[in-house]
Amino acid sequence: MEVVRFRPWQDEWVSVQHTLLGFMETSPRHGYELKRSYDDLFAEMRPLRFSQIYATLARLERDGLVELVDGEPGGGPERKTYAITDDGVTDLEQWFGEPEPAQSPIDSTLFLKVTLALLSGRPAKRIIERQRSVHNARMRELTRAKAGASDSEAALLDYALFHLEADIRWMDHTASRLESLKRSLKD
Amino acid sequence: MNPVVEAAALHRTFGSGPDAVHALIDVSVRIEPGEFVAVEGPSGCGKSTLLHLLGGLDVPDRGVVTFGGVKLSALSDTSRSAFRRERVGMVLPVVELISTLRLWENVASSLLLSGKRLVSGRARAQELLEAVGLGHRANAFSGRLSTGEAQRTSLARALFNEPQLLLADEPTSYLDSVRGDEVLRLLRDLADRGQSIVMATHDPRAAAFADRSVRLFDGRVDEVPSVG
Repeated sequence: MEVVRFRPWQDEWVSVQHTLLGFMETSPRHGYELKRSYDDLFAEMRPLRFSQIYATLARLERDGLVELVDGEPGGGPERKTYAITDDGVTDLEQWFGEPEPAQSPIDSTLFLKVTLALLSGRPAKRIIERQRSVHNARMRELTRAKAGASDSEAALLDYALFHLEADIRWMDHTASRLESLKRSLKD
Repeated sequence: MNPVVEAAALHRTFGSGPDAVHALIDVSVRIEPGEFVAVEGPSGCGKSTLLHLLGGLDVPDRGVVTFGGVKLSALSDTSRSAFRRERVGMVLPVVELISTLRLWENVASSLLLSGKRLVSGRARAQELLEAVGLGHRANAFSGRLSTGEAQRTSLARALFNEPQLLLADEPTSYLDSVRGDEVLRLLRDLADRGQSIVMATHDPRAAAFADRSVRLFDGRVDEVPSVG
């Protein structure tokens, strides 16, 4: 699963907060258990340090979204067990209920390269083809990694594969329209 | 190592005069034993034509297809058909099974063409149905299958004669992504066990199951710089 690298979450704090709340909704946990649950499912997507978990727990406790149910208030963080509160459940419900923004990666460097290549008379088709080869190789690598992957890992690999497929479809679509694109850019 | 099939400078044109369609122009490919090769490209780029020429279902106007050391164009139509039946398995996008036959009978149906009794192929058909996850349905009638099951049955049928080359023409185009992946995983497993496969597809996710891609565009091989 080391083949998967994702972009950082857009709103890191919100995502970590709700991930931990989601774990605690099933049962009270201490920091070490949270770290283990997180690593099992999401570490490949985005690593999370112990310090981030403890900082998040402290903020959640301050905001009344979790409460200490076991362990000394002044003791080390790894010995404290936290449970989600009613406010925490409400907060989590709200997060589940709100769809994520449909992100359009319009900052695509490939789009920039193709446009600038057309403007400067460079071989845009070759640029697309080279990129397509890189995408193809990556998709083969991810597809290979799916053999023997757990369902959860396979779902993550599929997430990456479907996005790469969308990129390739754009490349093929654009490659077949380079002449008219070039004309419209020079108008 | 000798290739399973090698195509050199193939040209294939359909029709003539101003209406002529140049389906393939100077296409050369070489398929090694155990290779799984995707032939990629948009609709109408010549993918199916290339598959038909590689498998001896059609002959080129110019160029040579050498299959297991045999020049296919040197064979008569009858010899070429017999050659194809023995050496080539074919999976198509739309599966045609005989609805009044049981699954295992469909899988073994090529025996009928060579005048043999279906029952002599029952064990082999059962084994192949097991391999595609349909062993438990061997006695079901094929008219009751889902599209995904029908495609897996057609794959078992294509493998019945232990073909040297399996041709798959858009094998997943009528399947949803989950059922499609099941078929593609089967193809991948077959290739990992030494089956040579050429698959035409316009789907980049399907092509990713192959070892490499040959891309066609307007009948020509699109020269893709080798990366990765």
